[in-house]
Amino acid sequence: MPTVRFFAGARAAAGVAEEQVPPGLTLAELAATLASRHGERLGTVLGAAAFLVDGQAWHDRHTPLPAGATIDVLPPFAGG
Amino acid sequence: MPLPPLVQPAEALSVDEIRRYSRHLIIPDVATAGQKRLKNARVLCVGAGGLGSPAMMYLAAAGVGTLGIVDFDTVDESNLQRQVIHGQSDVGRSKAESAAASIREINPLVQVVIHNTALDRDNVFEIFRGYDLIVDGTDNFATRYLVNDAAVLLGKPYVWGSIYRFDGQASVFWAGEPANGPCYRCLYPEPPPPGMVPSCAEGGVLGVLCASIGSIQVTEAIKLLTGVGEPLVGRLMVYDALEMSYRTITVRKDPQCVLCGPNATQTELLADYEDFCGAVSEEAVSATLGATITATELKEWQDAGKDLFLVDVREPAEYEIVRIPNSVLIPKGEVVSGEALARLPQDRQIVLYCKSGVRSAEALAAVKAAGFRDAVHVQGGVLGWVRLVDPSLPAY
Repeated sequence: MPTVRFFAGARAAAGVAEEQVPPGLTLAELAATLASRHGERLGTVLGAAAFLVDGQAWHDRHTPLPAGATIDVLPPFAGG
Repeated sequence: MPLPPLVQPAEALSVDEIRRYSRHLIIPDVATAGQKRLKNARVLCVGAGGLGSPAMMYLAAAGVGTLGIVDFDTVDESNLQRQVIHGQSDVGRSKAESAAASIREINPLVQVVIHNTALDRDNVFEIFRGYDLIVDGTDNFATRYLVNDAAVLLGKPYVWGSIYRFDGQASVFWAGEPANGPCYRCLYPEPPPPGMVPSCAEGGVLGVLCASIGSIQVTEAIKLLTGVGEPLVGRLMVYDALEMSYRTITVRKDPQCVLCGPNATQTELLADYEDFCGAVSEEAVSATLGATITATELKEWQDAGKDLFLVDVREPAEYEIVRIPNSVLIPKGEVVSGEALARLPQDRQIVLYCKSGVRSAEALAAVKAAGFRDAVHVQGGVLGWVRLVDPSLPAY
């Protein structure tokens, strides 16, 4: 099963650091699943976050994610 | 993957330098050769703010020969909670000048180069070309994409760091040879939608977080300059101060990256980085046309007894700090999501304000779209009110 790891604001909104998700989801389905599990606040964060699948940017929202993938959810922030 | 040192060693260290840097010289991995490389190094810090402060102080102390500073801003009292390179007597002074004075006090052997200007597409190449390495400590997406694009196009490495509240991230982006690593766009291909991600000025930042991330940036800078250790290329360091955890995650080069991928389509700087990052959305801009009042006009309306419904769209913590009298708090998120629209009266003049006028513009677009056609927002927000109407109130 794919593992999702939440960072920074996504970690705070999800309330967990990581969790497993059902296999075969697309990125769009994953975002919807996570928002329904954890609430709209996470849904908002996901709208701006970068998704790294096994370390690489994942652009395709409609192809199933690889089984066993690690998906890192990274909200951007630009403070300095 | 270890990388060769970025800088050739200087010819020799003086007796003063040997005395000053002795704790470096007796580390076998640094030693005299490494210290001579630092002496020859030219490092540019973009931003003399939260991250730039500790970064420049430690780079100076470490003996980096030439330190450049880019900053156009002046020191504000609200900077002093975290920007430790500046002091009380520097308030109102140019940040670049203030930082330069601190550096000279820390280490007079450092050559300081002041670029008292805003980095932009017209000067970035010329400025970057004079340096071996860049440390990015800017505070907005537009400048971050500009720094990244210029560094990639010049093949230069840069040490990136970013902070917000209790969270920090850092990495080394070096898309050119020999590192051939990812760039910022491999991680974040596009800036977030405007208004979606608050800045530190809007959302706050724990002051000491600057030291946590700035010190990682300096560590990476020294490693790259001297060629020791495993650089943070292709990895992102994620720091969570509340959990007190550092997690390192892999970031691979994106084969589809428009800037550094094999089929890159972007071969020069963008025409307008502010526009690329959309400081305010188009909807917000059009909503504010003819629907913007100044703080002075708001005061006149209040004094004339106009029936106003004044809405502060900031967050509760900001409302606690300072507010315009007779306002109610409805955070922007509740306005934009629509859940708070029922609280808006149909028969009164609606006036929105935030800290500086950006969030209230976004909220105004939502309010007008919901049918409140006469609604207006306050240009410059509560900061405008403090400046123009009631300077006895605190600005933040």
